[in-house]
Amino acid sequence: MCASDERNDRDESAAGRSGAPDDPDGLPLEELLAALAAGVSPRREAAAPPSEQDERSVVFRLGSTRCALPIDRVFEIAEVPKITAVPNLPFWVRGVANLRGDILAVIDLRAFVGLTPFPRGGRGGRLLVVRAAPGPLGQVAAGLWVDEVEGVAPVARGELAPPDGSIDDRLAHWVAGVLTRDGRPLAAFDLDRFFATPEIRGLNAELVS
Amino acid sequence: MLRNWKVWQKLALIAVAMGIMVPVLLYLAVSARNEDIGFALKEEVGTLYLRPLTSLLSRLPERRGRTQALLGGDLAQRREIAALDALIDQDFTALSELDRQVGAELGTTAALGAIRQDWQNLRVQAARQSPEQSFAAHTRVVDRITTLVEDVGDSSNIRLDPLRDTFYLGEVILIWGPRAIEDRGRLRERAAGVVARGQATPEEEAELSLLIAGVDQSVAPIRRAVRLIAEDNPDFAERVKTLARESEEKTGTFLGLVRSRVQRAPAITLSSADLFASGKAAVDAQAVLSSALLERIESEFRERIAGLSRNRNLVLAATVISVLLAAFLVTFVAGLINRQVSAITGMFQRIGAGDFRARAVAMSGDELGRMAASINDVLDNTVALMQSRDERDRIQASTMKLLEEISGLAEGDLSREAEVTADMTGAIADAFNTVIAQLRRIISDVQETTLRVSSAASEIQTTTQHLADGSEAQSAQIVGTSAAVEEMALSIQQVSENAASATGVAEQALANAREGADAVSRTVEGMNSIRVQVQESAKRIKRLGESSQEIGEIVQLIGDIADRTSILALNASIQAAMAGDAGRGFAVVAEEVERLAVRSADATKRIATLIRSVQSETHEAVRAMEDTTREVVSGSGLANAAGQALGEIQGVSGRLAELIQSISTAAQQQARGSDSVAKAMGDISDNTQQTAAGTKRVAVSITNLAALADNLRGSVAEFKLPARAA
Repeated sequence: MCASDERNDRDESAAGRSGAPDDPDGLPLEELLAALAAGVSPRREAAAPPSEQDERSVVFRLGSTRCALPIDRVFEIAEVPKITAVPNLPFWVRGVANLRGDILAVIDLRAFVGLTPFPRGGRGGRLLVVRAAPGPLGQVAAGLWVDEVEGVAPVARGELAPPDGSIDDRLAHWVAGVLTRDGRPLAAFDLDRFFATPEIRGLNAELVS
Repeated sequence: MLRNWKVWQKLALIAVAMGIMVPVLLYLAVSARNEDIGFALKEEVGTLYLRPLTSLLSRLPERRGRTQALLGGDLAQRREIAALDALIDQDFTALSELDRQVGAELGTTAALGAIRQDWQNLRVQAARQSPEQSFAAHTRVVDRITTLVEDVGDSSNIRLDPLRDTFYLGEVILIWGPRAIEDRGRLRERAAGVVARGQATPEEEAELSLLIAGVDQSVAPIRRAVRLIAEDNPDFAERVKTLARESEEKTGTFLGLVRSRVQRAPAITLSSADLFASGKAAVDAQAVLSSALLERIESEFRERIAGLSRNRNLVLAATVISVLLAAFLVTFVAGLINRQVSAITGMFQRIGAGDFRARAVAMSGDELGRMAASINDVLDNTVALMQSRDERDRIQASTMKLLEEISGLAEGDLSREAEVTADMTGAIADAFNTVIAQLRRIISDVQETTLRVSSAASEIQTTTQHLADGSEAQSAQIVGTSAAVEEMALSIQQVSENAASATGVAEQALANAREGADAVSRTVEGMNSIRVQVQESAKRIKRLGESSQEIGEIVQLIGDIADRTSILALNASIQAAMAGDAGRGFAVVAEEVERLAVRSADATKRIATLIRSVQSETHEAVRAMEDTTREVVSGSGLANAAGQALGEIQGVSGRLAELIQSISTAAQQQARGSDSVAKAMGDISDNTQQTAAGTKRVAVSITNLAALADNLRGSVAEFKLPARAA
């Protein structure tokens, strides 16, 4: 959400340069196009130079909480594909999907952490295809169904503080730490702990067999 | 009620009362006879039935005996038995035939059936049985037949016979005869059995004694009955006595034979055949007696039935003849009385009607005939007396009447006339009447003439009075009418002027209406062009809406592309990260691309919002234009109606103007005409006044004439005339 707000700010500044009224919906089409053109121009100052400790992370939203995942654990970001339901699995495993020939277990991450599950048959949100281990060697392990992928942001390990009341209590167990980014809390999702849980291990064994 | 009946009706009543009693008595007599006949008929049936039974009663014991002999070794009996069987069968056939006809009446069918059955059994089993069994079987059949004989006697009334001559016959036939035959038969067979074997056992001895005693006892009742029969039937006495004697002798011989040669003999030397023959003779003699008695009783019954039937028919015939005779006598006597009585009453009716010459005819020499003659004498005397007195009274009365009739003439009363009769006052009355008639004619002529003059005068007077009154009223009316005509002429003039000015107004209205119609049609045209333009605008705006829809679709497509671009950029970032340091520059580009994609998505969302508002406004504009079109259509409809109304006003105004013009013309003509009417009225008024004066003068002279006529009528009024002359 923060990223979206940031962009809105830029839009407003662009509109202000054109001398248009405050309400962007009331803009004439020509001015709107001009604003878009302004937005498209490269703006390198927006991306802060990454430091050594910073770990580039994919930022996604789960419920009302922004979470980050190291980019080397993400194999791909995709639209939610067609899911084939599989019987006798935990309720948060929504089934398997065919991703360019690979069979992938789709896990409803909202359901997994205890939030409201995604609606049945829905295709909203994004699928984060994650690796079991960091780097190019990590095998593709599962597709995590999340609300939205906001972008890529640097996360400094040193800034991480223990989870506090600023994030949803139900997520606290799966978070390695919390830091403040763009004035709002950002939780570092602990993927290793996620994979270490017996349910996920059992699931992998079952799906592999 | 009976008092008012006529004599012959009363006689008929007595006859009817007698007539009701006769059939009742007749019925009683005939039904008693019929009962007796039925009784005797049934007895006759019984005798018919008894005949074969009696025959069987002598034949069956014979067969029993012969069978005993056959079983004892005498094979010669076989042929005899066969002949006997044929005879018995004949008897049974005859019995069956009879039973079919009268069995139900006598109630014998069941018993006869049982006997037949026994007989059949007997025939079938005869050869296989011991002598003792055979004997018992035969005896059973015989006993049954004996019982049946008694039953038939009971059910056919023979035992109940009320007359002595047949009672004893029945007794022998039914009771003593069968018993005697059976006893003798049984003794015969037992004795024959003993003789055949040559000696008797003690039991047989005892039985023989018993049977002999039975046979002995049966003789006495038969003898007694035969004696009584002989007394009651003298013509039959000789025969029955002979037969009875024969039977007794045969029985005596047989009994003697048994006693001397079987019972008491030290050794039996008698042949069985001889003994049997002797027994058979005894049995047959008794059977002959029985059948003779049976024939006798049958003929007795037949005679009795015939006698009873004759008796009954005689009663019927006598009754019918006496009834017919009585009816004839009643009718005849009633007719005689009735005719005499109606002759007398008829005569009285005629006298009552005034015919004193009527006389009754004396038809008979009895009391009624003599009464009719006496009445005739009385009437003759009475009529002679009445005639002489009448003559004198009539002359006196006619003279008095004539005087009375002409007494009014002196006082001037001409209305009465003297009655003209055949006697001597008739001529005088006739002369008076001629005088009166002539006077009456003169007076009535005078009266009629004066009356006519008087009434004519008064009629004329009334008419002239009416004329005079009419002339005066007419004169007054003419003066009034003349004034009215002048007034009318003035008002017509005024009408004429008004009509002329109205014509101008009507033409003005016509012109105005025409202008109005033009204005309305121009309005309608304008509204039609407005409607066309509004519809055109609505179409354009709709097309604009459709275009913005297309724009929306395109923008959505752009949004999708931006979304996919965003994912692509993120994946590019991931790939760049995988490439390590080498991919760092690429990562920057990827991030920038991602940011651009997000901005594009935002912009498309805003464009979509804009397009939605454009579309909703377009819809509203289209709806407003449709409303406008509708209003324009209804407005032009109203304008059209107004135009039509104005057209009609125009037509009406035109016609109005024409009408007013013609009114004006007519009014001018009327004004001219009314002047000449007024002038003519003045002339009429003068004439009328002259007529009234002449009429008054005529009235005066008529009044004088009426007075003269009244005077003349008064002078002849003293004479009185009959009512028809007035």
